[in-house]
Amino acid sequence: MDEKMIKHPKVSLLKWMNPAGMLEHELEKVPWYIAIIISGIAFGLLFWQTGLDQRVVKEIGIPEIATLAIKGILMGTLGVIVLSFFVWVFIRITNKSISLEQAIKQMALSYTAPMVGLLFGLILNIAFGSRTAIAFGISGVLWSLNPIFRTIKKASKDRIFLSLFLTTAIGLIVMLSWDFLV
Amino acid sequence: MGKIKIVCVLMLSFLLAFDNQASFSGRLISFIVLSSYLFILLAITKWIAGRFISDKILFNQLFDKAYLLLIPFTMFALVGRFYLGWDTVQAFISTGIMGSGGMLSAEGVKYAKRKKTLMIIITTISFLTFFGFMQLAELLKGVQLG
Repeated sequence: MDEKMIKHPKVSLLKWMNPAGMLEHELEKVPWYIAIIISGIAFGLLFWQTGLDQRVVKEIGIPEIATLAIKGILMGTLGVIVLSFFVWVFIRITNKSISLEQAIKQMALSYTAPMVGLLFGLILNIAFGSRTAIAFGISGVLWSLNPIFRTIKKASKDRIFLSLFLTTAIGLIVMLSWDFLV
Repeated sequence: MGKIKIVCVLMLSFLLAFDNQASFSGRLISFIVLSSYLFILLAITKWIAGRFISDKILFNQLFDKAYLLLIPFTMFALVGRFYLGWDTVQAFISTGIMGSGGMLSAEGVKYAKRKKTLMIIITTISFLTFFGFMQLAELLKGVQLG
């Protein structure tokens, strides 16, 4: 989408309907290390809200919740870099022109929408005590698999089964890691 | 490709029926009703979306490819339910259906004449499909023979 299209009234409506998508588009130009901050924040928020939710069922203090948030940030930064490397190695089979930086950036930016959702979730969690880790967190992380799938499909030159395999692997690794770490 | 989609629909319906019911007959009735509902709604989606793309062979390929996205979500639902013990099958179903619909509209707009209408219609039908699926699952709770 070019600059002229973004300023078009109909596109402005889409912007309001899908702010995360537009934010993702605006962030296309940022370097990979800035993009990784987004996934770091998204996972940090997910783990933080998991800690807040756990207070309902067991005794859990601020240090434990902070530890969980730090684990989330590490998973969203180092974990996403490792996952991107894994995806990059497979994509290189079909597309030699994609760089590791591009792979990391695209993967990290896929967590823009969950980050926006999790920010709303955190507000609801703190203000009303709602349990938001599943509703906003896991649903958001699952949603991020759609842009991840489309990115891999495009980067691998429409290799649909490779894209499905990598998307499934990423989703399972994220699910199992979250379950293991919390 | 069509067979994989059928297996995914049957598997997701089974998981929700299994979670929502305690008796064998209740699970069986729920499974039959939920899977039939999904097949009918997917057929309606295909029929409506197909009216926007004139090349039927191309459209059938796009449709089958888009709904292959149900595979990862079926896998997550199975692992989540039986390995991790999560009670979140509905989240996987809703994301899978909406994601597949999104994929169909993203690919369909490349070939459709009325691009925005196609996008809005597919998103609306996908939303109604999973929303109706969840409501139907709630309605069927506690249903059993005899």
